[in-house]
Amino acid sequence: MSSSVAIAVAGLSKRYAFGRKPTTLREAIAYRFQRRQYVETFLALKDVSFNVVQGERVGILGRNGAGKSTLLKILSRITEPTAGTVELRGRVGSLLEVGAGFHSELTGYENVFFNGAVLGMSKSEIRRKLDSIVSFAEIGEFLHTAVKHYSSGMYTRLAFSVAAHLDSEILLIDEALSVGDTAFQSKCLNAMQDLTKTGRTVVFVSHDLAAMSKLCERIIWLHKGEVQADGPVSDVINGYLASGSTVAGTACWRMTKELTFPCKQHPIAITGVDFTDGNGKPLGDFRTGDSLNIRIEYKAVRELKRTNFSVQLRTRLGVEVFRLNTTPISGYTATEPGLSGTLDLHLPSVPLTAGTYVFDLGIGFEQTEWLDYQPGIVELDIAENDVYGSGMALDNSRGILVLPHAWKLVKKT
Amino acid sequence: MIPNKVCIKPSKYVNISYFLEAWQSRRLLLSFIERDLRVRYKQTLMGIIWAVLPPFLSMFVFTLIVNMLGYAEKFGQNQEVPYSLFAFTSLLLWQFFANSISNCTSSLVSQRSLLTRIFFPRVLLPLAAVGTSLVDYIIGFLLLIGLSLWHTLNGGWSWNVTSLPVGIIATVYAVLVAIAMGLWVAALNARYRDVQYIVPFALQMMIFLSPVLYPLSLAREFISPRFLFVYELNPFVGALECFRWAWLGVGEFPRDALISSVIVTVLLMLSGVYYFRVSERVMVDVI
Repeated sequence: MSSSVAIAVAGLSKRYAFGRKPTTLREAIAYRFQRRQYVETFLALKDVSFNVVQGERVGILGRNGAGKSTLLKILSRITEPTAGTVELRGRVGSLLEVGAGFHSELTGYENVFFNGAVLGMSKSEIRRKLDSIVSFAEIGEFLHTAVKHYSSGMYTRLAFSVAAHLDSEILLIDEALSVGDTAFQSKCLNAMQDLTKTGRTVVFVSHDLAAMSKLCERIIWLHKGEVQADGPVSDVINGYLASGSTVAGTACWRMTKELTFPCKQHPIAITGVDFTDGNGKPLGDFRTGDSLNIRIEYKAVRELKRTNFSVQLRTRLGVEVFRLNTTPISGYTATEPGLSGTLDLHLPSVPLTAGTYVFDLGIGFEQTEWLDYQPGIVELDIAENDVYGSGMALDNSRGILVLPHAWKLVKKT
Repeated sequence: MIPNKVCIKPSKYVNISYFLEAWQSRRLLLSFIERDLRVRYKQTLMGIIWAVLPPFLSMFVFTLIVNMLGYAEKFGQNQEVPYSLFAFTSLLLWQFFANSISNCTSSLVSQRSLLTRIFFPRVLLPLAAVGTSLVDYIIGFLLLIGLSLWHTLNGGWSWNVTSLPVGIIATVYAVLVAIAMGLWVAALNARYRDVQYIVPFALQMMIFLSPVLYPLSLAREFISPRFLFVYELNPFVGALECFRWAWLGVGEFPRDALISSVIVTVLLMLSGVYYFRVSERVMVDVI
């Protein structure tokens, strides 16, 4: 390992087990004596190798489930690899999920000191940076108030601020980190950009290709746990975009993450999702006003009662457009779903203007508890359509909703 | 020279660098303890008094019951020691064990959000759980000194100040026992939540199966020699008996009990560190 290498990753693999894992002593003991082993495993990372030179800024690119966050978790030492090695030279700071260890009963001041200590700062270091941390977080006179009385914005601002003030030679950033309101988000992005310009080694994970090409010199593209490409920004991004059009095809909807399996904690799970048009044909493109059929496949570990299926649609900015569930909103009885099955939700017309919309699917126990909840699991692109027959295609710059309507001039002088 | 070189690899075995890293983060351990104490006494009326109230109140209850049953003389070793003092000495140490172990049980599981978000030597969490109980114990220890002086001034029993250093050594041993058991329950509970139901029940039983309310000599009278060694395998036995022998200055030095207790503690500690280390590797993925 040459002295200028800050991160050396060699043959890194990480295997996860899912499915029926024994979680109680009784199950663990029974499991030892079972002939058939139900645990399935999958490799989140397969033999990943790369080196990062000191001061280099590297972006990690890939779809959801490609292994980006697993890689960051290993680099930040949160979880151990199954095989392979990583050598890190220098203090590692991470902006992955902020606010680790914040305790709601403690004041902002106390939390800054504890959180700072967990991140690896000494007390004198925190004391020195306290003013800067507090002013960046904009919490002002609330510093000595218990954080349970904070608004969620104040909470995340303070948490981000502590993490951003750690001096480290290596910085791991997950840009998906959503912090506070829009104004603070741009402040965070600026702070992240400033942090990356201080000569540190940076590993940056993002979906935002523009941000990535601005911040990074080199990109590693992960695909299904393997390094697909590694090289200069423009080359890799071009390759990534080219592959995206072939993989996604013409489909206008896509799953954004892996589905789960039913297990002890989630006795029922959504195991398949399919979006078709009103006649059950695959969706080629989807336009405003088209009919939509949402098919949910599920499996359960046991017979359940009083279940409740739910479909919610949001805009990308998080505005809830509608939420439908079998009971009580739709008044449809599917409360005893059996051990597995398929459920359709039919929408004769989706009156939404062009744009990308996000679906949350869930199965709950009555109205009280989620048995399986998959926020943002499906994204649907709705294309422009001339719904009003005026010859003008509507995009969402004119609102997200289309309505049957009629104009009538009733008086004219 | 490049600072902080870290190598991450799948490591099953306990190696030197592991201990070195834990030792280097001792200041973080203090931060954990400080946070736990702060959290504990937030929004309480009596604050730090809670550290000594449980053993102090239990002392009255147990003294009352033992007097009702007419065993106070026998338990107090023929009136050499006032039973209330005997009870407080035992209960103070017992509370330390019981609190340490129940704190350890939840130490990892309750910090799930911390474990899954940030790296630090995981062993700090059960150590902090023991450390927090130790702070309570130290406050209670001051009360024990006060009670000992009070009894000395009122006659009947006199405190030998030379027992202080031996008492401290016995305390250090008690801390080791608590850590050894704590590592096991913490790691087990991260994997199998049954532990959190077993532990409170086990502790409830152990208060009677350890010489807390009665001296070891009494247990020896009633338990047949064939089973006595099983009784003495309990590492609390040696620690409790040794501490009382040192502090109250009565009875014989519990040599046999202490030997088996030390052996069990060493075995528990070695296996505990090993098991904790092995489960630490996958802890974040299963917790």
